Amino acid sequence: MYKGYHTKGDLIKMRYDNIVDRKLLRNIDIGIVVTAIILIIIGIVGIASATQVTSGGTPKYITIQGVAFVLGIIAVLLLLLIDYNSFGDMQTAIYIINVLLLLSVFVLGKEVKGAKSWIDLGPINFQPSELVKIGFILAFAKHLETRKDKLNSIKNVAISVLYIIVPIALIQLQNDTGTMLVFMFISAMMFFAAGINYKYIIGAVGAFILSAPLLWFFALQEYQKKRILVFLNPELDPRGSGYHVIQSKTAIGSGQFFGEGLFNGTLNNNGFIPERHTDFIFSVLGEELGFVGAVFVVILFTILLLRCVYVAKAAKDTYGMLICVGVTAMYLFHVLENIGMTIGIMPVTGIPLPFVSYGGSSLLTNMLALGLIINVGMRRQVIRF
Amino acid sequence: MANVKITVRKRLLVLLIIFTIAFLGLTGRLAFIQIVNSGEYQEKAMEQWTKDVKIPSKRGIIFDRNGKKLAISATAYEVIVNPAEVKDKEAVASALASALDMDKTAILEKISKKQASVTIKKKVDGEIVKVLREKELKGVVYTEDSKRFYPQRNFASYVLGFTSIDNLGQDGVEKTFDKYLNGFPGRSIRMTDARNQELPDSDSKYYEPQDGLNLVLTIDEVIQHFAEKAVENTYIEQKAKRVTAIVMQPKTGDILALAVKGDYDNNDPRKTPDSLLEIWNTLTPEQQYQEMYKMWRNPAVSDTYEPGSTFKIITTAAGLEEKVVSKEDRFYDAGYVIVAGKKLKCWRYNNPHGAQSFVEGVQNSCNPVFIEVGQRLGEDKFYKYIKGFGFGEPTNVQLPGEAAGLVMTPAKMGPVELATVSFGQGIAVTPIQLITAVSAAVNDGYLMEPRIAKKLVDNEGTTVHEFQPKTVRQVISKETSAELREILESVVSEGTGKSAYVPGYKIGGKTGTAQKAENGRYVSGKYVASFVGFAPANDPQIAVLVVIDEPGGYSHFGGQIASPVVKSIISDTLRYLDVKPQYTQAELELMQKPLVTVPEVRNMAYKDAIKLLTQSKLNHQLESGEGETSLNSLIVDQIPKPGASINQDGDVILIVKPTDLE
Repeated sequence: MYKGYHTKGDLIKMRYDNIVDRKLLRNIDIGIVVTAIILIIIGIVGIASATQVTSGGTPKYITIQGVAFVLGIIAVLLLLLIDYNSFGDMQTAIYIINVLLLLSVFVLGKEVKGAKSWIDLGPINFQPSELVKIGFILAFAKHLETRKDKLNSIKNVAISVLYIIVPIALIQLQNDTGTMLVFMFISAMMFFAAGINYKYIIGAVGAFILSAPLLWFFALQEYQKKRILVFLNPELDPRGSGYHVIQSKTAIGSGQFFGEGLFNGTLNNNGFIPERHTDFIFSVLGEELGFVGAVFVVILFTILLLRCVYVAKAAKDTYGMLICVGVTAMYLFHVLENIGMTIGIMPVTGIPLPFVSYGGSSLLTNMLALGLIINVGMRRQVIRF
Repeated sequence: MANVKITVRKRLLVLLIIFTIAFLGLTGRLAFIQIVNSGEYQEKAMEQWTKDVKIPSKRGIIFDRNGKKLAISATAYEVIVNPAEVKDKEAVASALASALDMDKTAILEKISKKQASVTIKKKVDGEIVKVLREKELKGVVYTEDSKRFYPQRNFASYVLGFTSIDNLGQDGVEKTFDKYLNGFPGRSIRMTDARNQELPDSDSKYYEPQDGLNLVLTIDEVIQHFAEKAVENTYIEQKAKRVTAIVMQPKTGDILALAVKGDYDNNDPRKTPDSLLEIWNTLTPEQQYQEMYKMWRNPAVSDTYEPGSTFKIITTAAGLEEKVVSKEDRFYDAGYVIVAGKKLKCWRYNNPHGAQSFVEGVQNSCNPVFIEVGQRLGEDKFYKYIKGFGFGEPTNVQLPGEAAGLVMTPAKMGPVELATVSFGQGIAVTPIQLITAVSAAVNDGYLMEPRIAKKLVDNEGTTVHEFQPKTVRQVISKETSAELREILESVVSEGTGKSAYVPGYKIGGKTGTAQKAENGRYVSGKYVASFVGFAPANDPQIAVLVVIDEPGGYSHFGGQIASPVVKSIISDTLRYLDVKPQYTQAELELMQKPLVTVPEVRNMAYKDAIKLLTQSKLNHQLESGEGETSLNSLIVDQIPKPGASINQDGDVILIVKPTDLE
């Protein structure tokens, strides 16, 4: 059964499986695949509506999204060939690549909306921090697994914190607060699932509460403070940073129960929703498909995440479980934050809705992450020789 | 290992619970927005993509009674910028700043706002807009607006009033007839996108504005001119605080002229008054506002004063009507009377009038005579006539801010008060009340409501509504009124109103001088001099009241300074109205005599002036006001002025420097 090769001391270690093994194929979680594909299709339709493809808008956006989808399928299939434990073996290499990718932005990056997190690759822009999310989950999961029995020693907690602080700090230096929060959330969830003692959790929460005033007065930039204040009361700046939330809520609210009909959203079609094909795609869906459509999207995400948690529980080893928890945490944060901001219960950050928002690197990353879950799920049975 | 497994399961369960709750929260919030509050959001959405623009209606023209335009609306423009469409903000700001004479940084700030459109300036002249249009500034729009224009600037200021920046009436008839003049603004409702550009194929609605109606006043532009001129001269010559003149047609209550100086330029009502120019910046905004209001306040209807002797007309009318006195009743003036232990003096107490008939008493304006008439009437009857003539309540003239005045009720009136009111003290009236009451007294007793607006006409000239003259009540009988007119005519021909005499015309009238009261106490040196006259005395066509507030010149006596003003307005007006003079035999004889030139006698002693006038074969009349005259008294003014030609043996009225008795 076990094929491929494995050389001791090498950084690159791969374990292959026979992909056509019926046992493995039978264990692919169909629920995850179907919900994800429906979400992606809803996304492409939403992007088409937001960019007015039906009334003479450029098809550029749906084309890119479609291409990313196809590339994603290919990438996921290739990913399934590899046993996820190979990534555990390559923990150090992955970690180093992560850091290098994040550093590359400072040399090659360009600034988009205040955040310097993009690299211009000619025809397409690439956001390294997206890919790094996956690398980070893979590396940190292994890091936690190797320490799982002694995780609660002060030394190991300290090492673990240091381990995650490097990528997080680099992202913060790119001025990409949203992504940094994603990383912190992922790390916290993985720590939690790895069984960290509650005293550390209580300690961390306490430390956060105590340091909040310090953060407010010394660490946060003016624009960040303003965002939080405007989040608490969007009317403070209805034409500025509160504009997004007010417009978004207005659009979603005027969708009412059944929506104004696909491609018929008045605010969407007349340009009243800002960032409507990317971060505020949910507002377009809410206006055009109404409460029914919006809740349908929420239910799809619920199913998807339930399946992810199920795979985490069923995983054959701690490494697989932690990968699933990391990916689940990533999705969870994105969904809560993105939908939350469009309906005014979360502050506005540039975080897209997984599978739905326009964005090649984002879609690819989310699909790869899903590939990891499927990977863990299909290899859940301990192989007996 | 088993423990770890259990921990992991427990923790995954916790994760599951957390995210389920979170998703339920999202669903709840969505339900709140999309179901519970959806109506509100839909309304908000509508507001965003529909644009409702008000289209101003054209304000009606204000005409005088003969169709002369007193206020018109000229086309002006509102300059608006749609910031989203502006490419080069700097260039647009500096172009607008120089053309509109505004601060560039202020404009730049306005057009940098994230707003659909911002108004830069209203009421911009067409010429300026024409220049701006040639520059083809992107994002700048000009919408039609109208600007109120008063062709004669400060002419009938307090009748016309002015309008606000939004073309709403703020004062004068502009305010009281605003709802007719303003018309109904139209609306244009369009659907626009986020860039404020109109959507193609969208429903748009346009409601035509309805122009305002034109207002025809009772004011006669020519008579108004006479009044303005006379008032302005007096205002300057007498260094007065304020001079007011009202010309009324007694039969209808029509206000033919209402002139007040100092006034303001109706085209620029918010301009700093010249007198305050130096200290203006030291005033607080509050104080500046107070000063503006003081300037806009219409003394003819809003300010009250003590009428003094002019009020004796009312006492006379009441006494004659109640038959407590007749023309030939004999009175004796000892210079004073004692009422309830208080000594009330006549104005000429050191040279009492002595024995006199009632008519002579009126001519002499002798206080004890009127005190006696008042006593014969008693509080109740006297009060009935005071109220009957309209004192103590607004006349309902259609001008803003009318005061009611102050009249003591019989219950509060003691013997002293009864006595003082009968010669015009202890009562506060507005000029409009007094002229209306005197008009009633000479108009066969019919009290008319003062009328400022004649009718409303549309743009085709069709009358839409006519404001009819309104009789309030008859206060005295026709016979009493005729008797009163005769007595008042004799005041001008024989008594204290001689300087209002116009040859060929029978003029009736009464002078008045009152000390001003401030904070319940008379202030020395501050007077209100007035004269109310009417002509022709047998069939009054006009009644004229002139009130001089705080004269600062040589005299403060109504007979000396107010009656010449009334005389000038009456003679100009009667000639304009083509009222034929009816000369007496004496006047006709006088007119046959050769003309002589009037010499300069001002600044001479009385005795020298007599000598000079006798040499010139001229007679003279002395106008001493309510003052004492001796041969050495100084002549301060003369009517006619030096150089004028009058018939030999004609009268020159000499106005002597008054000596104060107090």
